[in-house]
Amino acid sequence: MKSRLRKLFALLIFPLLFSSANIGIAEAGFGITPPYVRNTSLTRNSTYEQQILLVRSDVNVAQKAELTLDAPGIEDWIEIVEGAEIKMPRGEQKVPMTVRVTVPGDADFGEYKGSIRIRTLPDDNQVTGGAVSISLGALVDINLNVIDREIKDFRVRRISVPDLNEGSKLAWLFFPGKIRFDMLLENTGNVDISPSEVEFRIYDRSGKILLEETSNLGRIDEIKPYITETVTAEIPTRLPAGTYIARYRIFNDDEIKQEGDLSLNIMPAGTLQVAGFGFGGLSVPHKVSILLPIFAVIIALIYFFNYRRKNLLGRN
Amino acid sequence: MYTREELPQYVKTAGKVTVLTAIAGFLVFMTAFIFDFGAQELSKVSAQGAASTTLTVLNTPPSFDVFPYEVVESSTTTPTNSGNSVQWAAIGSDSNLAPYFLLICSTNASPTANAAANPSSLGTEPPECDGGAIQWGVSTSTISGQQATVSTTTIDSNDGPSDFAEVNEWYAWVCDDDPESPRCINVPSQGLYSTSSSPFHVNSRPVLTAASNDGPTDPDSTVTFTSTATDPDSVEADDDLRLIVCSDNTTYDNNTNTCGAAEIASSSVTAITNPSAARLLSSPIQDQSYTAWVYLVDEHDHEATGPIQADFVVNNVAPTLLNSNIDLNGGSDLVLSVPAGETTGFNLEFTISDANSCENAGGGDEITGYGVSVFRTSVGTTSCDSTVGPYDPNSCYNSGSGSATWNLSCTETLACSGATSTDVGYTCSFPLWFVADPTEGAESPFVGDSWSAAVRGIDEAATGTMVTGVSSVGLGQFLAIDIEDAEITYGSVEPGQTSGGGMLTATSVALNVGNTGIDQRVEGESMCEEFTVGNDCVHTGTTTIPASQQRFASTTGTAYTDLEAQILSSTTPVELELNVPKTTGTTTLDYQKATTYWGIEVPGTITFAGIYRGLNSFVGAVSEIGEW
Repeated sequence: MKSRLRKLFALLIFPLLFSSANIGIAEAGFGITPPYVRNTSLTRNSTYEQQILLVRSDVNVAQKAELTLDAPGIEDWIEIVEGAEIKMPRGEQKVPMTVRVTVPGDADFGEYKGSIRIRTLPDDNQVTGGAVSISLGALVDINLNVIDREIKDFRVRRISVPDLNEGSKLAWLFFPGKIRFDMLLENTGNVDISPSEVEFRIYDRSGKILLEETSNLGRIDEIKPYITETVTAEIPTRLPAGTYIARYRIFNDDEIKQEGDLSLNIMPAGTLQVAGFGFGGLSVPHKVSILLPIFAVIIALIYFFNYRRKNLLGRN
Repeated sequence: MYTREELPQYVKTAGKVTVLTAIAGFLVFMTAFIFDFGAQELSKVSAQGAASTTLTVLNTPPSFDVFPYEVVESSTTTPTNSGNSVQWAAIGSDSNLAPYFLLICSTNASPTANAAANPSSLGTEPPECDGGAIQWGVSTSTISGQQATVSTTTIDSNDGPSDFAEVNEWYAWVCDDDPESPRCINVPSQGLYSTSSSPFHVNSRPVLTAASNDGPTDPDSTVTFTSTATDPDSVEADDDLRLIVCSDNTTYDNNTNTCGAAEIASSSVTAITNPSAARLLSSPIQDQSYTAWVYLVDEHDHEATGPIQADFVVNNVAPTLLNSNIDLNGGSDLVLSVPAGETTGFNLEFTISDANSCENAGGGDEITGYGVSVFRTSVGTTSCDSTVGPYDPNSCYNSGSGSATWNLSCTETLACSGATSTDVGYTCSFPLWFVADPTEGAESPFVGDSWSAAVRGIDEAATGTMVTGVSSVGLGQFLAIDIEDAEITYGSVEPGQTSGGGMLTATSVALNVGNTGIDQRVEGESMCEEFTVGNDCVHTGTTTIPASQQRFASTTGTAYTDLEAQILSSTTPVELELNVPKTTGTTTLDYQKATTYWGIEVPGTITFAGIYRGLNSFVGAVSEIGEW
């Protein structure tokens, strides 16, 4: 009798069990970009960071992203800076997460793989009853390579040249104008790097007549591995005020990493409140014309004091 | 006969005869003087047939104290330009202090000196050259000992027959007009000084017959003015000719043969015929017709009659861009962030230059527009220019498709600063669809590509060529998934029964709303009444349906008990090779999708009747390249 009642109850109730469609989670897309943490030029003791954006279509509900790392053998290397759970507040369409890879000093050289599973969940943990709710997620692929050789390479992402003052004369010395050639570089290698040389060929406004060839003076600041940063090459020019076309080439040793044309506006001296070249920008003859008298005076003084010392010693 | 023996006698008589003769003569003279014999008396005496002496003292001609010379040298090297005067000067003097004239003739034939009416009208009758000679000029009456000058105005040979040849001999005379016997110096002078002596030279004007130029000309190109020109002078050598081109016909200076700031061009190389002059038309220069007046000048700075107008035209040229003046997204990679939608706010900056200036001749804008395309690099501008047609949300966005298709929005951030400026700068923002081809990451069929922007300038009359920015950027992979229906409907199931009559009939449809191919990993939770996220079901045989009771497959017609039906796990995600290709269209109908088929078996042990809750997760993963 009991068994019959139970069966009857089940027949009345269970048909309703999965028929409802009140699902409130998977109503909009979810995505990540980029879907990988990839670096094939890691070295021991290096640190690499990759930012990944978690994005969604529907911003009207608060969600959280649950992160599960699956990277056998390299779990200790990998840190998700924001933690294993990332809030996606209502109204926020995209939320960043940062994966930091720290390669230990004793890591074996080779390839390492893994993944980070991201699953979105309602921030209030509630699911709607009556059916199987759905949550969306995405998989971050991890692909790392630890190598034992240096890679010196960079990518030029952007260049720019602000206006500059023309060179100026002080007595017989000519201080050239200073071209500040800004380069947004991404270090795609695994050691500090900067362009080995930046070369300018400056033409008249029509681009037909070559007026000056010049290249950077001094060293260009280096960029750390895996970083994108702006560095500046300082290039002297002796051209007067005017508008010119410059054809530039950025070198990584013998390789030309980028070449292109840009417009160069040289203003009359003193127009802009920017510093020009100092002693370093002088031509070799002008440098010699300053240094030679100084050296001569120093030598004369040394000689004089030596002579005097000898005389004093002789008297004593 | 003189003998030595009679010497003493000679001495006695020597000188006596001479003395007596002298005394006699003296006495005669004194007698005549004492008795007042005058000239008349003597004449009468003569007329009366007495012996007498007559003497006519003639007027003497003036002479040169300073020989004649050309006041302004007129020589082969420095001729007198036609229309200018040749002037001579000399100083003469007359022995009786009478005034004199300086007469310049073309031959050495003796001139005719004319007599004044009387001594009181001296200096009124100038002499004349011989009838066969050309009289270049005669001075006014000049006081003896003072400088006399005379000049003549030359006439151009182009103006018709005249006395003036290119080379003209001259002979200078000084004459008086003595009433009784006017006279000229016997021998004329041609001057003593090499550069100012006879002959004098007349430089005729060159002849400018026609002038033109080789325009229309582009900015930063050279316009050349040519002429049809000759010069009539030929002594020693033909005169060199040159052109001077001015922007007006009022500022030309005949003395300096320049027109100052109005000068457009002048001959850098002279020629004896048809000289030319060139001018590099440095940009910026507006496209329009420019007034030009062509002057012809010979080597003695004598200009031709004219000038001749030869206006030139500067062509309109299309605007240009430098490849470094196109900046796509500040050098940063393009990151898509809206599943199944457009990601907005990408940035593009560029500067357009026009060699015709950014301001037109009417004062308006020369640069009137632009054409833009943003594309995957291997597509290139050949396929993806800014015109109507090539738009493809996967790889080519172009302004020609219209703002309804691609909402490129640009504002002018560098305004034209006037006719001497060439540049106008723009800053634009634009969207990209979620299907835009990714170029970053090893697992992409587009690795090696990147994204670039190309821009062309448009002005009033020309459209420039597409210029691609020197820096390209990457576009990241965008893994995005959606489930078409947000539920898995199993329908009515009794304990001990399987949904769908034992077949996997419930479905979930995965949509590819990113730019990669996707696969799907599935995991799920057990179902119970009290289930919430993080609060898993307590596993009892009567109130919990384990996750493993759900099975799924990627193909329809799979039975719950088939081996292809995979068992859902709450701990180990199961990859289902859905192989959803990359979506290439932007409408919902275009979305690539794949269906997962589901079934559930409710355990027969379940006794609790009520609402069961559960959660299945669909984790998208980038599929293999070959499955995009």
